[in-house]
Amino acid sequence: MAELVRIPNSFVELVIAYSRPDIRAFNDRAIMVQSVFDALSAWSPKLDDIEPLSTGKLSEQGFNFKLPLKQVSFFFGPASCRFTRDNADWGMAEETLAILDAGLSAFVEVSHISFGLRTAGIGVHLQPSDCPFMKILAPFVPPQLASLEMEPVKTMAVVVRWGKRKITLDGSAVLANAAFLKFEREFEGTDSLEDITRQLRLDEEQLFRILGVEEAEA
Amino acid sequence: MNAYQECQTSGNQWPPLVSPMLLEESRSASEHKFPPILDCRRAPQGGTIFDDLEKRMVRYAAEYRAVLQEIQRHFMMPVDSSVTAFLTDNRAIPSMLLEAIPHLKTYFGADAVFSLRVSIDGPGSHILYAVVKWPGKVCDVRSALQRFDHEWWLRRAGQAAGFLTFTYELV
Repeated sequence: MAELVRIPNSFVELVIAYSRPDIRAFNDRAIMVQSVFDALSAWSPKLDDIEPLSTGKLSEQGFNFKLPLKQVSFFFGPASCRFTRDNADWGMAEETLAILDAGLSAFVEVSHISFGLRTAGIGVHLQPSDCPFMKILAPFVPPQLASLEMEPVKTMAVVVRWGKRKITLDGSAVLANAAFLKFEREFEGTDSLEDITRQLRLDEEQLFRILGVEEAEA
Repeated sequence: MNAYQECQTSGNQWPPLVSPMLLEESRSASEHKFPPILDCRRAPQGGTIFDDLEKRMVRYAAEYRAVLQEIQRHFMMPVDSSVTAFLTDNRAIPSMLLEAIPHLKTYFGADAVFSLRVSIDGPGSHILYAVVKWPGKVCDVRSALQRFDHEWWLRRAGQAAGFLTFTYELV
């Protein structure tokens, strides 16, 4: 029987690399910021939640845009952009896609930047209420290593990487008695946001089955 | 407890989401306890006592968020915001909980799992329970709790003014 877990902390992120870096497009950031600001007006953005970044490496400069009520953040830089949303569940997928689409469309329209590879990922902290988190992780500890000491293993981590996919399994550094799972995939520029969402959902279902966990009803 | 050094969050620090009603209740309560200062007295340096107030508020909020995050690393919290709201209303308790962590681990074991829950006492006052989830024998946890109480907690319990109780739950 699957172990019931709560997910008190999670995030989804999408990093989009541009076909090629475009520094010129960032010469006049004000037009870009205004355009994204207007596009997100349905979600009540505030001027003070926009943070221009003009220090660090050129790839780290640009602007951050946050919607605190939705726990959404956008970063737009000259080489890539990044979107995150915290504590979103699948019931919020439609809204998340709408915010993402609005922000990205406005940015592309003004900057004329073309998007390349997209890396999408979800991180979840799985907190069992009735057992130690190591019960979830224990099956993934190599027995050869576990037998090196008499005492039980306290925590462990596994990172598995393929050409276009990566899975990280670890103890949680954020929550008491919780495991951390992150699954990421690389998508082509031609894949739609809906395709990406569908694939991530399948990945989550597959991994939860492998881990033997099921999300408890709130 | 993690083993691999990788960022496990989005990197954003969101302020706690508080419903407008809760905010209003909290404001009313604090206005009741601390009536507004009307005379805006001058500080010795010439500035008003409200100078840098916003900056200080932001700093305090960030510090408080960090404390809450640290508590979440050691104690399981309920789905609802009851514990967070309790800790916000009783600002002395979070630091006491953090102080208790190494002692809890000493008496109940480094791998013991702890959780927090809020209960309403008879006359309507709230009490925070820090609960050790104990998979072993009841006599062992009772003995550990007794030693924890006698050797560490009872000397400090007065500071919590009855708002914090350490107990156990058999699992």
